[in-house]
Amino acid sequence: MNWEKIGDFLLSFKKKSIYLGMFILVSIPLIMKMSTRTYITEEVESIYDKVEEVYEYNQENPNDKQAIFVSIDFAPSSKAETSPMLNALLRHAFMRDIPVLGWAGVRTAADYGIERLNSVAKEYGKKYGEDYIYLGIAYPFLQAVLSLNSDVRIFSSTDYYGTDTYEIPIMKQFHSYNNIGLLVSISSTSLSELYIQYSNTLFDQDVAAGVTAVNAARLYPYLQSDQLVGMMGGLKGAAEYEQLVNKLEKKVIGEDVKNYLREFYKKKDPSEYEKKYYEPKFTETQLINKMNSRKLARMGMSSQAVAHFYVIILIIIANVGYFIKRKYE
Amino acid sequence: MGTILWSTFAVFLTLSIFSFLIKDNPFYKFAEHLFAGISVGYLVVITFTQIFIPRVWKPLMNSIDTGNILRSAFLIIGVFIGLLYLSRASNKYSWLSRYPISIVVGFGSGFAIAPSLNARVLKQLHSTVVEDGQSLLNIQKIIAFFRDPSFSSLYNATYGPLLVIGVLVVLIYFFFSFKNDNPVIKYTRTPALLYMMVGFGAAFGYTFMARISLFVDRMNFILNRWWPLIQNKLM
Amino acid sequence: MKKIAVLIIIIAFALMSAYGQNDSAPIEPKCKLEVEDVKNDGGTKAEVYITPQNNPEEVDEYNLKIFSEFEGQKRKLKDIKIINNQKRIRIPVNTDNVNTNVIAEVYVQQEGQSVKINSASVKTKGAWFDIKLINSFVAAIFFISLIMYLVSRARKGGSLFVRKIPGLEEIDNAVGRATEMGKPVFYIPGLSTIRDVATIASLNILRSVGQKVAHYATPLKVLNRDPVVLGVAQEVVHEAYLSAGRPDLYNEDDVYFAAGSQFAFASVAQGAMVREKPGAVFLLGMFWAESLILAETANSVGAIQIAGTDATAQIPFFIASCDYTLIGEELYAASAYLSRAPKLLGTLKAQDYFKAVLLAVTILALITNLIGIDFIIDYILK
Repeated sequence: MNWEKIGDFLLSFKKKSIYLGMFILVSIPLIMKMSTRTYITEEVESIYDKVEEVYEYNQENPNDKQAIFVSIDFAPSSKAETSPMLNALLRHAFMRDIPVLGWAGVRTAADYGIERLNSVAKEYGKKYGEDYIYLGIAYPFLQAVLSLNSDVRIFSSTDYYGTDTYEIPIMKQFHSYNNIGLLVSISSTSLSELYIQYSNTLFDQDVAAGVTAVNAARLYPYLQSDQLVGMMGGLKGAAEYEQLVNKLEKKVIGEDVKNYLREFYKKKDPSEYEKKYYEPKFTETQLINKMNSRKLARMGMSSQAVAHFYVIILIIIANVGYFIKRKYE
Repeated sequence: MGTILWSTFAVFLTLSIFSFLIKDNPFYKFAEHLFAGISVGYLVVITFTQIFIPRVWKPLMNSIDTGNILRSAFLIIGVFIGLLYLSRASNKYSWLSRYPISIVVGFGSGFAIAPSLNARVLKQLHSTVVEDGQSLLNIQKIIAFFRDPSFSSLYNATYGPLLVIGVLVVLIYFFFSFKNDNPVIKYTRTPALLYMMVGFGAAFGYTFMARISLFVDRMNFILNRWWPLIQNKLM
Repeated sequence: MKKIAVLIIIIAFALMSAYGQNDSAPIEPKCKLEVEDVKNDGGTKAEVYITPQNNPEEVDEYNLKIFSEFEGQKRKLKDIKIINNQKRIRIPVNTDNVNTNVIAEVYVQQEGQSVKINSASVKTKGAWFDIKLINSFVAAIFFISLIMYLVSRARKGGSLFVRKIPGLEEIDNAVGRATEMGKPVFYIPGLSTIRDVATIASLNILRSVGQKVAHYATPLKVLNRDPVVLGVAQEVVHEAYLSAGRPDLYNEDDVYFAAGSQFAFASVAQGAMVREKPGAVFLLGMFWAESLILAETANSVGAIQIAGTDATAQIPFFIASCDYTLIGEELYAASAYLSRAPKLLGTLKAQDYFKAVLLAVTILALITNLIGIDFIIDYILK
């Protein structure tokens, strides 16, 4: 047998054919709309549990509620991983009637952030200024994080829409770490580490992070030392949270979410809702998108799994080829 | 109609960028330059509307209206010092730009030193000694493994010691005061590299996952959002 | 017999009167209420403790109301039902301002009416110094004085030993090999700005590379992304050529601005490498996602590559595709070793000493913890 030729062959795959293989393999699960079930890791479940804890606290103390603070620290270019996390987290909070405060940690997230908040709030009929608020860009970042210790209204005199923050109802009760049960930084940058460094270290604020996979490895030490409540890492983390929230949704809303959403605004008075934030009705295309967004990460995960297998096989082939070649040269 | 138009344009741009995998070509260049231009333009607008207006202009107007002289003075002085950054354009006055830089750097490092030391060094070392109130060098767990050898008891027994050893050898690896042939440096070098390579391997795997996610998202957009739109219109 | 009759009557009266007393005097609802300011905080927190002092049969629930009073404005913070289980209950209170009066009042339902039975208050106070962070404060002071001392010692010419980083001789080899092959040397000082430590470290190494290159008269190309870094790099290379005695070889256009945006830079660098086929490529400094593009292209044209970065996410790519990689702090150490600049050398030494102290403390903590003494982990490493 001509081992050298085999070795050469194993190492001779052209880059373009490798790309083509990846293209085809990733497309198949997406075309078939396959969505996988994934196992739940401890670090994701602890974020979910913490949100549930806030919910239970709010049930017991209706006059002294806790809110969830969401820092949107990613540019739309990394939304593939982070947007499903944000979606799942906001759905969880709104489903549990937890007030949500948000801002953008990076400038490029400013418009994208409010678009996401309004879009998810619409699914649960939440009202801007009463149930959630978006403060625009947290710039300069350090001062912003610091101001949350006393009163964020001093730092951010207006919200994203330019309204005076002292006149917004939700801000009367929720404007500092005192009433924030959990701060979540959904990030493609290193800002989540800064929240650990300032919010957690200085002010004992519970912090959780949802980060792109590139940053995930760096945050594990903080999980081990309990400086982070939990972490969603990459699409896998997002898929886990999505799965947990979907399970809860089935319990709270029922099996037929699509129909529920279709009927949602039919019973309500449209004049209650300001059109500036969202239109109080769903079109059929929107409904399809809403349903798709409920399995966004898990759908991605099936393609992801296939891609990973593909690359593992390629690595094995190339290594075998490399060893054969080295041995017989 | 607008949605279809914009979505199709997005698909066109995505495919233009992907076309680089075959060869550098004008479509790729067009998409790249368009992106670079739009990002800069977008950032300029967003900085003006979302930073300058709400953080400077509105508070200033507000405090002038309410007669809060102290606050308006602070804002004006702040803006003035900030504008000194622009002095870099002139050779003669560029030294003025050192004032805002020194304030920013001074505040930044002063504010950061204690918490970062606490969060990144002291608390991390604390969790190298104990985790959840239990010592990482827990002899009970090692005994438990020998009594009942199983996969989970092996994990429990080795997890803590492995972590402690890892922290110590990697710390020693980045020690530059001893000669290379110092036995401590010499014998910890390989284990330290081993630990780091495992860490880098994990980071590499995660990074790979991130890159594939980006690709999957784009394909999802084309196949599950754009294509149904076109299908609906055509049929 | 008479006596017995009298006794029975007396007992009967006593019983009746006792019964009657029970009926006429109602039980008195009681509870212990403590309001305490939280010490060592920003001055906005307080704690309320309530201990019921009646049997659950007597009073089954208390109503606790907590108010804050600041500059004459009274605001209700909490209104909680306390189920009587005769245990001390802690309720944390957060106010918005420092020096706020926190007032707690306890009410009990009696005959359909809410009756106040107890009240207490405290004024919140802010602490000037956060005792919790005192370990960080001491560590910071220690570290800063270590840096100042060692930098001043280095300035005075005191000898500070730094071991040679194993990758450094590779720099000589790489330049030597490029010279043998008659190919240029490429140097990229990262894509970050001059404020990044990695960039500064890289520019120090560039000086030493520049000297060697000038010595062998090998062409050197430095590609930059940041205009400020470009200016400094030009200056550094010029100086290096001067000190090697070959200012005639220096051409300002060899140290040039490639492109401003990340991937545009990557494609310009890629193009330049493919066209000019360098013999050695140095990728030292801060890199992001473009790291693999650069390293892979350099590999495909057959160049020796020396890489170094402190970006954890990029090190694996460099290790996989480059001939030698300086990992994290090794980059700073290499720059201090080559430049012998007192500031860098002093800082590096201070870091070493600080690390040694931390290492010793950690080992000590591990040992003392094993024998049941928790002093170090409770007070020093916390």
